[in-house]
Amino acid sequence: MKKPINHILVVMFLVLLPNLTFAQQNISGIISDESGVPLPGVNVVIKGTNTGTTTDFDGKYSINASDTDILTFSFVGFIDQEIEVGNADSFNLSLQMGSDELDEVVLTGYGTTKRANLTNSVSKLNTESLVDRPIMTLGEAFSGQLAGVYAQQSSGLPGAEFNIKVRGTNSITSGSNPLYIIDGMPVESMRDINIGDVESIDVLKDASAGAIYGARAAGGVVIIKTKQAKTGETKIDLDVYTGMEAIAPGNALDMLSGPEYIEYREWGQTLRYINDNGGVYDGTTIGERSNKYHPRRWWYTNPDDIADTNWQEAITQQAIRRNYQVSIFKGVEGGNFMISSNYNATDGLVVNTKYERFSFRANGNYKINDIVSAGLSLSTTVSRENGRREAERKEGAYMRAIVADPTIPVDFNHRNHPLGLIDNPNPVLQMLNIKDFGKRKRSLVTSYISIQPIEGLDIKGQFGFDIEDFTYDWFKPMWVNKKARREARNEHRNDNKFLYQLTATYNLSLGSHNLDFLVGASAEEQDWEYTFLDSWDFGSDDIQTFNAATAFRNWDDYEMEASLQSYFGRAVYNYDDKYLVNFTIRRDGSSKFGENNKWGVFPAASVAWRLSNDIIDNPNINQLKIRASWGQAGNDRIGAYSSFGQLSGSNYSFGNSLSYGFAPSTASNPDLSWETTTTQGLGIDFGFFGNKIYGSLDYYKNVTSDVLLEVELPAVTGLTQASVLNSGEVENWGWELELNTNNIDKEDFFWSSSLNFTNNENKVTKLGYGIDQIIGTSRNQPTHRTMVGRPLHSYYMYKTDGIYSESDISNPSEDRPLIKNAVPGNPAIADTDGDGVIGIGDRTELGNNTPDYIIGFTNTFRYKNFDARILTTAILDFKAYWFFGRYADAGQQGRNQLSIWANGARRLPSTNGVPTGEAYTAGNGTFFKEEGGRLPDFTDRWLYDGDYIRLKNITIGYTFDKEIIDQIGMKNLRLYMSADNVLNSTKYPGGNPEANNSEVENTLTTGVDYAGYPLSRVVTFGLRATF
Amino acid sequence: MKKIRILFYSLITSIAIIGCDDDFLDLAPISQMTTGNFYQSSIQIDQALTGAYSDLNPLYDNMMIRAAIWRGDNSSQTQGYANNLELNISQYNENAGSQVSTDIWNTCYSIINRVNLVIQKSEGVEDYAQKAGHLAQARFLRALMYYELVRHFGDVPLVLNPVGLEESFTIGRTASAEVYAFVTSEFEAVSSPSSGLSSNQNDKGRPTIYSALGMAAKAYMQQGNYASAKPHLKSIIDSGKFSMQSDYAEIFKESNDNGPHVVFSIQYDKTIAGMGNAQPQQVPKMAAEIPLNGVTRKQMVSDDLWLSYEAGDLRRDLTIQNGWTSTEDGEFVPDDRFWIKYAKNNSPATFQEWGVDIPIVRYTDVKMLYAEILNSESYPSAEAFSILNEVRTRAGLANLTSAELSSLSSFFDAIINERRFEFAGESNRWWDLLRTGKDEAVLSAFASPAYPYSSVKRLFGIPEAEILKVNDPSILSQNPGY
Repeated sequence: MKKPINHILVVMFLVLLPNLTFAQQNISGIISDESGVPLPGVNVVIKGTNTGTTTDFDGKYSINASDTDILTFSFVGFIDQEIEVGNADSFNLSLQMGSDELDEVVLTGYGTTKRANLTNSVSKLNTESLVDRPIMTLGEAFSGQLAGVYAQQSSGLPGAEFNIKVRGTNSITSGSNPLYIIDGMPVESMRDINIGDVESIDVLKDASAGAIYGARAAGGVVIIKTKQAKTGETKIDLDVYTGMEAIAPGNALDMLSGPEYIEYREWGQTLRYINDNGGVYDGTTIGERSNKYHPRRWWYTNPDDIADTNWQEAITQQAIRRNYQVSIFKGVEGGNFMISSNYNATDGLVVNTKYERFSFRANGNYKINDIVSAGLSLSTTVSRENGRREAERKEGAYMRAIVADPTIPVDFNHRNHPLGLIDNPNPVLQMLNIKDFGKRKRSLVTSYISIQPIEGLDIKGQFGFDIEDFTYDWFKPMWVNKKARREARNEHRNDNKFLYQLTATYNLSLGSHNLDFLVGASAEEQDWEYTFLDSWDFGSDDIQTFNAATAFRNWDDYEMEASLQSYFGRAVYNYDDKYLVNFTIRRDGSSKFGENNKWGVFPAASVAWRLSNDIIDNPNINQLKIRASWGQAGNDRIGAYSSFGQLSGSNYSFGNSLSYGFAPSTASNPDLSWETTTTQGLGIDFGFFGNKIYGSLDYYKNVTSDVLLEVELPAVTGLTQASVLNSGEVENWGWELELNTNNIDKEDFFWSSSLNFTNNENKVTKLGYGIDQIIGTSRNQPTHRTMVGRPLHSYYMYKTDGIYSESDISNPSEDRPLIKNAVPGNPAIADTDGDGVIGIGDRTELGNNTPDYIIGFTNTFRYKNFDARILTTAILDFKAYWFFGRYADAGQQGRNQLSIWANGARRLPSTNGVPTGEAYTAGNGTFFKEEGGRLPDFTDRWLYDGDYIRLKNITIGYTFDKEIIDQIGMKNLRLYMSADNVLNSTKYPGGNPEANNSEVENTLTTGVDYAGYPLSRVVTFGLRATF
Repeated sequence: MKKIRILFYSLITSIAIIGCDDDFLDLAPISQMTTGNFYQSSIQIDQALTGAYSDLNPLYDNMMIRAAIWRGDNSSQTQGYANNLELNISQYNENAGSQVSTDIWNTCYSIINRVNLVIQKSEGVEDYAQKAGHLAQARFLRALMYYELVRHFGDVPLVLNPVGLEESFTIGRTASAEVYAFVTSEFEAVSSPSSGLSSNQNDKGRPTIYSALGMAAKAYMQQGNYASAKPHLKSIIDSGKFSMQSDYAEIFKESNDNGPHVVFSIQYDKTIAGMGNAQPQQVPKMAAEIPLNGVTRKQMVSDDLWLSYEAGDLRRDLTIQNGWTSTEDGEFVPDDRFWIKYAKNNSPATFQEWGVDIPIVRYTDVKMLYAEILNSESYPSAEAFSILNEVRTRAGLANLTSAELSSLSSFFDAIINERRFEFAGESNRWWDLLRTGKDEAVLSAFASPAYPYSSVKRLFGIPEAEILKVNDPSILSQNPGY
């Protein structure tokens, strides 16, 4: 494979030619703040052009301009000023402090624009609003911050990635994740990116904005920019925090204690005894009955061994979170440099789980003369995770601990306990004894050289790579469970990605007409390598590396490659900051696509009209802009070789002599291509009363066509494995509001609010290939359905309808058909198809796991040196299936149950002295206690409203007065306290309604909670100092 | 000046962009071969052909043979593994979603696709010595699969080329007569020595010209076409290359695989993991008599079969085990009957890896079919009696003469009945009942009132999944009764 534009650099040097200067008058001056302190790094630009400079260390600037030009002075945190040059040759200005969010710069992909001139839908997340929060996974930063962006936390495991969705789910069986651009480098994930290094995050929400990233942008584009020094700035930042974690509100489940469990089990056996005894209760005690009716024989033979263990407490630990970051910033004339280093260590709530990250970053940019500048962004990270798979996987240690027998001691070991060997390991010992260790190294490097041969033209060559290396070791020593064998697994994955890119931007200003052009080309190469070894043949527990294995049980090794080649362009026309027009186009060719469809074109157009600069002249309306956009972006999330008919080994032994053979295992699909999302959007940006109230309102409709759909082919193809085809159509629509208000702005007291509101809904409009519906299954039973005209991935289960009464059972009728072996008090299943029997046709659609409404609300207060920020999030209108209820809330006899199953809540005895149990209220209705085993696995019995409102974070800080800290050589000193997951309000009983750890990673069965890793409440104390 | 400069840089930029190589995006899988880059040489054609043979293993030891056994009167309607999959077949109440239908359908079309690829792709490969042989084997396998499909399902899609993705949703069923015609003409086409198939008695599991003749005859017999079957059966007998084993027990010994009693068989090899025969494992888990034990009892012998053996029939105890001794407590469990034919005199590598082959056409079958034809032509036929008695003698039974079998039809009944015991535990019984039209009478008498036989069960249901995938009854319709 040849690199198509590897001669970029050669080209770049070819254009190293002297600059042209134009004879104009020279304007100079000093810019300072209100108190007269010079401001370095202020942007001084001739309005309507790209021509400009920045002030130096002493606030001085010098620029050539003609007398009709208007100079714009802007600096972050200050209000812009404009001055007409006229005859003067010097302007000394003092800029006023103030936040003018409308003038903030938004990253749009290969370029920037001012928010006020944006024509499509982009949301910006300033990390200022995240300062002091103990965010360890960058995805967490998105929670409640941006309209249209949903950050779903499916696990509380430290280091676990959040699931980020921009404007809903477009795809049915393929991923809908956004594309991430980190310092210009397109990557697949934000994994291990240190938030302490992030300056801003911009999200291109619609296909009109995303089209510039073409075939990968249908799920939105997240542009992350890391911190750089400001001109003239020299400082060292130190940020240290440490905190404690506890299980978050609602995440701890109230289970039966040891004595309660014994009583509960004895009750169950009494029922059985009575049943076997012809329904007659003869008044015997458990001890008087045959040991056949003893729930656990050893309780009666070895009563001294009975413990009262709270397994949930035993499996959790006092978790500490620590973070240290040192950053050095140096801004010099024409350049800036930053290096930082960070260490974050977060214990998990579950014993022996831990996430640790070491990261290092260096950023630098330098403009050596008027023509040439260059820069780089380098980060390298090592992260280590312990206990992840054992704790988190379905039926992992945490889940099993909750339902573990509380009469068994925590240090249970088959060799010292009458119970003897059991199949499942003691969950605590499982966490302590099994080696479960992953180690990942990631390096992300981008560099560029930029040349401005003439006024307004900027040619930039960029090179970058993202390499990730992951090793994983797992070793189960002998006797952790009943299986008398050692098991080990070793995995190694290596992912590399390389980018070569050349862009040129040109700015042309003709009076009020302002034109910006971008053209570019890029090539990306990706490769993956994966190996694993698996063995049961180890001679000792002491050596756990594979040199000690005598044979392999299983192994694999494969390599993959992919490439992407792209051309893109953008033209922006701005007439006097009144009328704005934006066209983009991208052409992507991908090796992943079939040979007949290698290339796709993704166009977009958007327009905006700034009424406030045109026909509205009202001092109270600072900004009013309407915009309309249309665009197309693609989703290419398929395997590298999905379009190929692949062969696998398929042998035959002729007369006991082996012959090697090969046979196709996947279908060849030379037409396979991207799925296309077409956005139509309308929006209003507003700012009133001196921008005390500002924000934006958006409506959008996305139509995703040629959906990448896994389709089971008719067997006449010879293949039964599902193939990815372009088929079907999905619509997403919704509206979004971002509203910011400065409520009080006094010298000693400041209060501002920021609200974002998201509405998103979807439906499938077509599936194609004669498919009416797609059923998702868990445990081989249908749980979800996706069908035309209905929302994606809807729950599809039996519906309960009260409980069976005595007369329902004794006089069965077609109106109220019974489930098998039903007894009075069992939950009744609704005969939704009305055929008089309970059968598969009675499954029905019962809502879905995608929230329709997402709200984030932040209030910021400042009183003298104190400040506080409170973030509240609400995720509304979605369902969550608590599969764990099937284990812990079904009256099962073999597992510990929720404490509502204890003695007190049960009627004993009822008629004829027969304890039949009692109805109680729990979950979705009134149910008889002993339902275990009778109810079908998937009913709405454990389907809950997932809606929650969460006091997500409170941060309180104190910033010392400058005068005081000056004396100890500091520029800034701040102490703070931050609390995450403070309060939670939900009807969901399982703790985290967003938990999703179904058997397999399967988008078709989203929202099945098997008792996921609990969320934690974190309280941290920190210090932030600037030297 | 400025404009020139802009033009200059634009030009350079364009050059940089245009300098892309066309092959940058052409990346083939590294760890897997593809349908696009394989099938390039004689070796690869051979390997692709082996890939087609490969699926014969699961088809015949795990799906097909047992489907036919469950259906007939040799299998118990009530005893078996808890999973109702198998019992439903013998209870005549399985639905179209049955795994049995699905597995047979899918595997047959998998092999057909592999063969179609071999045939299509070999056109692009230069001629080589074994090419004709490879193609003849491929055609034999494809005909064998259509033979199985047509007799299980009736009308089936007849595809003779690799099927495209879109196309696959539009392919309907071809009339069974047409499918049968294709099957017999293909078997006949490869049954001459010039076809490239071996003329030896065996070719180590590859079909010989005699395999093709035998299969052609069986396909004709299944349609009741004695006249067309006869010359093929006669050619096999006249070749002099085959002989029945003199001892019935020897037929199912691994050491006699590919022996002169075998006209065509499916090859199993216990020395290679995953390539053993799983059929013999269907025995009680704790049976002390069975090496390495079995896994479950999925399939139990009917009382009717066990009680129908003539006294002294040596084949009974070589086919069926009546009762077993538990390894757990040494207790004997009586009247619990399971197939032992393939396990009796063999030893496995693991409980589901046995080395013994599964015969598709035995020489005894050839001769008995021939006798059946001779009898139909003129009664009494000395040769037909001779064949019948050769089989009976080997089974330890007395000869039958025209005294006992005094008419054409009584001989016919006798030879069909003899086939029941001779081939018990193989797949012939059900097909014999169908082709002779005896199914209605025999199975109505056999089936318990709770699980009555219905003639709609002559065909298995088209797999429900296929019906749902195509989702258009005008293209792919279901068989009646499902």
